[in-house]
Amino acid sequence: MSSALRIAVSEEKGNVPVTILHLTGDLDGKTYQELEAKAAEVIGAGASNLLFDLSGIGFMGSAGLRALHAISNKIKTAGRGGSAGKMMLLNPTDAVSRVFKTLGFDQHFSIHTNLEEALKSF
Amino acid sequence: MSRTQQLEIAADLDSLKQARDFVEETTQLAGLDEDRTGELLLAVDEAVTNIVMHGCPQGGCTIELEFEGEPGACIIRIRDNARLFDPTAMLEPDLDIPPMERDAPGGFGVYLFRHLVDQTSYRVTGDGRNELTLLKRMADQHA
Repeated sequence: MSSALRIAVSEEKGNVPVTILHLTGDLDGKTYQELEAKAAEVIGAGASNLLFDLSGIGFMGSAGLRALHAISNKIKTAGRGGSAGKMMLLNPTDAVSRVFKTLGFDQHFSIHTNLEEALKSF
Repeated sequence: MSRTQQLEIAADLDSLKQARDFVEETTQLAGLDEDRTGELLLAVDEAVTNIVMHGCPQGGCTIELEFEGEPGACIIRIRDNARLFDPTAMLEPDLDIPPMERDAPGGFGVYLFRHLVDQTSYRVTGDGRNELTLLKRMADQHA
């Protein structure tokens, strides 16, 4: 299996527009910058509500956590007209949850297991 | 009787996946369960990433991974010819600071590999290389 990270972007209209980044592959020291770059790109294009679908992540290391943490800080000031944006996570795999839990981040990201509920919570 | 297997990789970020595949294949063959394999995998990935990014940022170094299966435990030894560095002597990040208030969650690689395996040790080999040994037990002791 390839370790490359693939990122597909889709838009959903809930109460507010939500940009979903669907991640597949490995989020490690090699690929985390690709995630930061893609997030910067969609934020730069005006997205302020980001949902990361992590159900396809086979491996994540602390570099992946660093990237999500950096994006979370960035999105807080990304809303149009100065309003804060929001970031949430959907369906993290065991490999992702392991890093969150070991480093104490599991309580500090908004994590959902249902797409509809995630969209409603923005 | 113990069994050993080895893999030599270039110390660059393209090799991370190869290192993880080696650990996954050897430890699962030895019977390590999925959760413990995942923990050991994460520990090795962090250790190798540290070598690549901090020990040998200029490139050109080599990393040797060795698996040793013992009764009740899997051992991974990581030898490299990067700058000499003892990761077991590093201070740990302060996890009492709420995560989102930390400037950047750096230094966590070392924390991860110390906390996800049962034993870590470091030495400089006879030929002057770093050697980090990570031991993961197959089951909790006194279980």
